[in-house]
Amino acid sequence: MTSIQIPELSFSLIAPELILCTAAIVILLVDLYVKNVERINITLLALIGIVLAFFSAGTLYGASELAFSWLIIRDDMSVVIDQIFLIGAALIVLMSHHYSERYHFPYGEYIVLLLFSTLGMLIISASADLITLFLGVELVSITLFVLTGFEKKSLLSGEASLKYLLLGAFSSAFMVYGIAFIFGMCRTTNLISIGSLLSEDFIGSPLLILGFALLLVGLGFKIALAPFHMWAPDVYQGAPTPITAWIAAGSKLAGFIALVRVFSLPDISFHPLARTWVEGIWWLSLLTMIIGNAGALVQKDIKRMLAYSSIAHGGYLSMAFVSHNDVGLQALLFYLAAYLFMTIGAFAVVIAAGRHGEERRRISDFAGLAKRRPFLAAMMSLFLLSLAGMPPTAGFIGKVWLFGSAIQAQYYGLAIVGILTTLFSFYYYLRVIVYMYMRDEEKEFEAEPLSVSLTLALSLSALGVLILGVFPNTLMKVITNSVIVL
Amino acid sequence: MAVGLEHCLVVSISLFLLGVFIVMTQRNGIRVLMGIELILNAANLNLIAFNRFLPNTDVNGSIFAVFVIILAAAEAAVALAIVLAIYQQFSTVNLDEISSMKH
Amino acid sequence: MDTSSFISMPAQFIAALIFLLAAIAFVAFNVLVPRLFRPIRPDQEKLSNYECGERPIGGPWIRFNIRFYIIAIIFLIFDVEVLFIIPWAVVYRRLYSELGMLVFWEMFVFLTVLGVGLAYCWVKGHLEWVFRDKLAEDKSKTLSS
Repeated sequence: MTSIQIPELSFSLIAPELILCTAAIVILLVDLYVKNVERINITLLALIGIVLAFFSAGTLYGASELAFSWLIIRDDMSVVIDQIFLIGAALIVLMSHHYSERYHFPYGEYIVLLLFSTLGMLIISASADLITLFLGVELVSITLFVLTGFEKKSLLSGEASLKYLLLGAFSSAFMVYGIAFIFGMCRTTNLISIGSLLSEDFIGSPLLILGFALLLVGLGFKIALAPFHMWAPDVYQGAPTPITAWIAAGSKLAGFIALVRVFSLPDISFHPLARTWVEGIWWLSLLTMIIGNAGALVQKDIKRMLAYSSIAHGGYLSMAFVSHNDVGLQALLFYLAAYLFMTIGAFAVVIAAGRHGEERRRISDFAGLAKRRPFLAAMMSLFLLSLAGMPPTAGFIGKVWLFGSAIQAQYYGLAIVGILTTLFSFYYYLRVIVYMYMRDEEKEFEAEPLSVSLTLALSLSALGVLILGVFPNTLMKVITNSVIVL
Repeated sequence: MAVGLEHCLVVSISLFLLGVFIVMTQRNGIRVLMGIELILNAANLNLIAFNRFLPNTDVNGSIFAVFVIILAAAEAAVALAIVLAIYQQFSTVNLDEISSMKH
Repeated sequence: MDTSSFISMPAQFIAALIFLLAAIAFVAFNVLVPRLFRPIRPDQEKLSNYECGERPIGGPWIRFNIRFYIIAIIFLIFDVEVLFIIPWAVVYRRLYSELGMLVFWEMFVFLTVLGVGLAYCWVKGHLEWVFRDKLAEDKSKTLSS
């Protein structure tokens, strides 16, 4: 029996994860033992945890290390992604503060689960081994199953949670089965060892390809790529709106990062395996763009419409894997950040436009919003235009970069389909804007004053969209550097 | 006849397909979960068989199997809780009847 | 392992295909074929619960108290965590000589987190058999009155 290798423990490298985990446990205990704790205190505690984790991640720039017997990789890319996740989590906490006041669900537990799901995302971004990757994906999924069902009085919420759970567990099972084959063929679960093994040996075993294909199917479920997208509209519609935003933004981001970690293995770009799966993703991307945009055209419910729009964005984003070059990866990271801001912003407007028992759910409910709530209407227009890809928003820059990477890799067909479906998508995004500005309201919605937390969330997302659109250079530079280091 | 890697793989892929078959055909939420557990256990069998029969494997396969068992338990716990909550709302766990969303 | 195995990839794909087909056939055989051949002649004895003349007392589909499920869930979670503790205990002595107390503290942290979970269940009252207590109270009330 070989002697057990003692892992080098470098806790400073996982400081953001540790801080977030501690914050979650502290909030759980405070919620348990302090009688009648104010919701604002829980929100503040969560925000403090997130901000601390954000800055501790910031101190890790420049580190490029493997730790904990190669389970964890800490490179610049993981730091950038961690920070994007943490910003997203802070926005969701702000939105939830407002939303939970409206629906009175157990707020402490809700925030704890939200922080744990963020922790899972951070683990995914720092994983160098299929074990940590799988743990992260599962942590994200399981917490989101529970959060989806948090509105206990709503039938939709329970139904959405059951559907999400069954399909999510099914896809996890596929993932594990695929990982088992990868382990069998490569004899290790470490992504870096797998990468170097593949680059040396050219293993073309069909079982290995089967393993990677099953892994792709599992992750495809999580990010709702086209043949595996059926759960998304129902879950998005039924989940509490802040959680819908977090599934659309955070969970999708996490799934893509997992894909990056698995399929952008160093040194295998020239491996024949890469060609096989690039072809697979080519079809998935094409199908996702077409189905997502076509589905969004006919939706009447705003959350379902945004769900299909998010599926379509999954298609654009997976284009980066097809082009399979540095530019594609950089564009992917940039667009993920932009996508996070605009999606969270759009859902924040959906929350702000409604009130208890009277949510504006249908697109026609948004008629006349501009007259009654000009600020909200302006915000919604900004986010929708960014989702559609109008300059000078973040969505425009991201799309140009992504399509550019596909053209650079000479996938002209895919780029053309991307551009055409983007043009189609203007129809359904602009329809909402037309409703808000040109139609008179059919039904009177009583106004609920904007709370501080929601205003903060809205304006921060709007700021993100505008800054990334007008001055994209800062983030571009950070991303370009981090990908080169990789 | 000694049991080798091939035997384990055949059993495991049969379990996998049975699991997929159950998930596809059963309409009862709990039974679907049972099918999912079958797939997870098929994967575990694979992991451990590879670790046992192939030379030069690192121990990560067995460790992975441990984590899969834990996560399967966590998933099952959450699933049972959600199914209980669903049952209180819909008075059924039949997936065809739990469908109230407009498409 | 070498390049030649990669060149003959299509042939290996056929092997995988046969593998897959064999597995599908195995499942299909076991599910479908017995259905064709087995005689279906149910009678009262065969449909009874134990098929051996044992008469069941009451139906099996009684309602279980919902507390059983919650306790089962809690048990499941804490039970499975033993999987982490046993391997740790097996190598504890060997690792202790190399790493010292670090080995202890690692498991300590893990168990503390589990303890937080236990505390959560406890404070929320899921470890107590609330419903039975209520019933007992009701019974004693009716008895005294």
